[in-house]
Amino acid sequence: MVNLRALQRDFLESYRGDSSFENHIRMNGPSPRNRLSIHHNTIRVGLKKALAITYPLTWELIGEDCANGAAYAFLREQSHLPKTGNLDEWGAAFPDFLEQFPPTQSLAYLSDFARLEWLKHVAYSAKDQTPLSVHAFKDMDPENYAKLRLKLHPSAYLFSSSHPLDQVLGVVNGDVESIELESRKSYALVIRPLQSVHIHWLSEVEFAFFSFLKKGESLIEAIEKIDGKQFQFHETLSFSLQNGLFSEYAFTS
Amino acid sequence: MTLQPLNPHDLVGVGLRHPHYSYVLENKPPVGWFEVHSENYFMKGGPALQFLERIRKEYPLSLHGIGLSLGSADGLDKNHLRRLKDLIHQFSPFLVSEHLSWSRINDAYFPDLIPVPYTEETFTLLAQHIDEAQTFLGREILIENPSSYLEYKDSIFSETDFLTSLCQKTGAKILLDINNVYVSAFNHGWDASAYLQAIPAELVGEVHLAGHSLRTFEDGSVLRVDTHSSCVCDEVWALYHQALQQGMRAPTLIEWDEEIPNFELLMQEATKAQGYLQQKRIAYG
Repeated sequence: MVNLRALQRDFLESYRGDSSFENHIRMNGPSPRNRLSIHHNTIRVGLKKALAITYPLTWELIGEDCANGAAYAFLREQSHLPKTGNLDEWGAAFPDFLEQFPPTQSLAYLSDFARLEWLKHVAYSAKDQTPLSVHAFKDMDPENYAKLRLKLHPSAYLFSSSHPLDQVLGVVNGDVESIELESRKSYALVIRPLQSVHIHWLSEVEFAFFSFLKKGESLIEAIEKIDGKQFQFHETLSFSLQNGLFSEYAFTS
Repeated sequence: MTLQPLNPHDLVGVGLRHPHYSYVLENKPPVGWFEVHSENYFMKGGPALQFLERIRKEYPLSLHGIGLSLGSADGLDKNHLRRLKDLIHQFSPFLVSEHLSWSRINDAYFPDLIPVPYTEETFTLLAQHIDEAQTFLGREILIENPSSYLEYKDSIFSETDFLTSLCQKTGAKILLDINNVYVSAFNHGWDASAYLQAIPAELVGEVHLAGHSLRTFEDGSVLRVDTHSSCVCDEVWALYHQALQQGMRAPTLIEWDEEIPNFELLMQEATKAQGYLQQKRIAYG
């Protein structure tokens, strides 16, 4: 009698193509291979669907057939299987795989676009917190601004790419007809302050400013470290408050 | 206001899935309770949790797990248990359930409910895991009989003996999925009616009803597959009637997970189940 651990390991091997597990199955009508295929199919289709739910824009961008093919190829490697029963946290490795996957390798922007979509997925389920509004600063002494430390909302993620991801997203949304293969960077801030996830496209200096805030630098430290000539402080602060980018503030000692 | 079942044994619930959130909140359909998959709400925040909080204010809730992998030789995932406990604390469900199956080995998780061999070794292991889960969660859980597509050569117990003994030993209750009984019985040549007769009515804490599909292979062989993608079939309704005759008057759930229809069709199925329950009440006087 085989022990349970050995039997479960044989199932894992069967997922990778080994037939030993079939020897554990009682012969009774439909063949052991057919019986086992129901489980393999449930697993593959279930995980492919989970990826399609996490990366709907990527599916839209490259088409369902191509995306499904990439997903099934991704799932052939054991290292890509989920490690826990919480599938909401699984799938972060898919963009790296797309970068190496021959049929999509020529789409240089694809893996970064998928990475951005992963952040969109993570932001959707991030911790809830009421964003700071302009009223939080209404009665603040302007002299305290220098000591202000602003915390980005828990759902805020910053992402930069060597490719114009704003254009790629425009194509998916039907706002742009084609992607120009120009060498232009893009800078994104992904956030879900309330119900919906938003992607804000930033300038390079705004991206640097928010990156310093995300690291915990005070407002004045962040401003000192970026190119002040390019930076519009009041416009950026106003934009931040209007879009719920901050969740907390404190004063440095 | 939180609704409390007046008679929890006569309440029919519906499996709540994402496409119906808004409909339920706007229309407040007369459903006894809702059941959700626990793992779909393991996140830190976001709209899905907010929807569930609003729905919980109106309806009793049951948490049905699909990822704890009670039958895993690797042991239970403590982090998974902690998250389940947090969810229970947040939503105060009246039922918490899992499956007689395994899904995880060597740090690989399969989103499937794979049967265990019914041996003394797996009985001891499952009893330990159920005991560990109930102790950690501080409450009774229900264990669902699986839909199975294969039987193991090494099994020495029938599924009914194994599940019944397991629940008697651990104090867990049975979540009797009657569609699973029908599907497994067809796939292995069991007698579905005899299966129900072998389950003590007092151990059944919940009943599931769902639809399934047929898979025909190239060699002409056929298996029934638990896809939850259609209405409950007549044979399963007949088995439900038998279960009620046997005194299994437990909260009953209509499940539908694939090709999800509009909510009205789920309500029709729930109303049909309620009709069976009411017939029994009249019959009992």
